[in-house]
Amino acid sequence: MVLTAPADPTADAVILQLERRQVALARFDAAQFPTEIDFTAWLDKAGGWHAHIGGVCLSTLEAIYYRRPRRFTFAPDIPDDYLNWCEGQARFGFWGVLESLPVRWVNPPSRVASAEYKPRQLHFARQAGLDILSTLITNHPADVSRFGSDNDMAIVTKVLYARMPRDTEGHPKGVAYTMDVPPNRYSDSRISTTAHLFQAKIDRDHDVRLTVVGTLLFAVALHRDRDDSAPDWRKNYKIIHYSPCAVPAAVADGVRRLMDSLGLVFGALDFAVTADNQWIFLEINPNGQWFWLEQQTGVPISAALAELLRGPR
Amino acid sequence: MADQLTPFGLTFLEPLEVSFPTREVTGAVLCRQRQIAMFDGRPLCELMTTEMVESTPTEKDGKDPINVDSDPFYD
Repeated sequence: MVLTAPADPTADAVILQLERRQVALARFDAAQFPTEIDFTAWLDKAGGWHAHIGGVCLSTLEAIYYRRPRRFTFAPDIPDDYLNWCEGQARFGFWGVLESLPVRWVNPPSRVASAEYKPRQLHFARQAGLDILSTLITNHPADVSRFGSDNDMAIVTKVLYARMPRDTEGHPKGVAYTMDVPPNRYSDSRISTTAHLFQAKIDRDHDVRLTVVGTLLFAVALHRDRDDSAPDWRKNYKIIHYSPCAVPAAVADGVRRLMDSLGLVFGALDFAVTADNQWIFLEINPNGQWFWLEQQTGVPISAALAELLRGPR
Repeated sequence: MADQLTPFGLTFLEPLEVSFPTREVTGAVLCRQRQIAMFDGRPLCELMTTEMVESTPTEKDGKDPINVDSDPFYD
C-alpha cells in the first residue's frame, strides 16, 4: 500500500517500478478519510486484526510506503473547535492500527516523527561513529556569544522545526535556510524567544546527499561554484552540479548504525565534505526527497525502494 | 497593540520561490487502474523534468519536509 497525495511524482516513480515487478498495490491518501473512504479495524481476542481501508483488506498487505499523505479531511459542517479532536481521533485510530500491522514499512510514521529531532539525530550520529559539528541549542544570547567567541569560529543557525508559519490561506510564509550568523547578532535578544540551534560553520569542499534504501547507499556529490559560500545548497539549485560518488567505508558503516538506531530503512542524509575528504554529518531527513537526484544522475533509487517494498523473493 | 516580536530564527525567513505548475502537472489525472498520475496517456513522472517535479505540491519544499502540509506527526 502506498500512502501519499494524489500529485506525487516521486511515489509514481516507485509505483511504476512495482508495476514492472507485477506487484499488486493500493494507493490511498489520508485526506480521503473519513469523507471519501471508510476504515474499520477489529482486534479479536487472539490479537488478530480484521481490518479494511476503502475496501482493501489489510490482512493482504505485505508492505506500506509512507510518502506524503495529506491531512485527514472532515465534513464541513463539523464546528471548527471540534476539528482538532476529530483529527486526534483519526490520527490515533488510523495510524495506530496501521503501525500495529505485521508489514514492512518505509518508514513507520512514528519513527519518521521521532527521527526529525535534530539534537537526537546528532547525538545518535556521533554514537554511530560519524563526525559531527560543534552544536549549541539554547535560548540564551550570552551563550551564543560565548559559543562563537570562545572557539573563534563563524557560526550558522538552522531550524529545529521544519514547518514554517503559514498565512491566513494556509500557504507557508517562507523558508528558513541554514544561514550565517554575523557576530553582531550573537547577542540578539530575540534568541531568547524560543530554542534555537547554532553550529560551527564548516569550510566545505562540497556537499553530499546520501540516500539510504535498506542496505543500499546512493551518494550524490553536490558541487557549487567556488564563490558560493552559502551554508545551505538548497538556496540555489540552478548552480549545483551533481555526480554519483563513493562513500568511505567508515562513513557507510556509521550510516548503517545510525539507521538502525533510529529504526529507519529509508533516509536522506546530508554531509559536508572537506577538502581532505572528511565527511561531516549535518542531518538526516527521514522522509526526504530523492527523485530529483535520480533524474539528475540516474541513481536507481525508485527501483531500490520497489525491491525493498516487494521484500525477499 | 504592543509591537510584535519576531523570534530570532524567523528573522532569517526568505520568501519561497514562486513556482508555476506546467500544463502536464495541472492536467494530469490519477489513473485508477495504474494508480499513478497520467498525462496524455503517459505516466506523468516519465514526462517530468526536474523543474516540473519541483512545481508539484509534494516536491517544492527544498527536498525535505519543509512545506508539505502532510504529516500529522509533525504537529
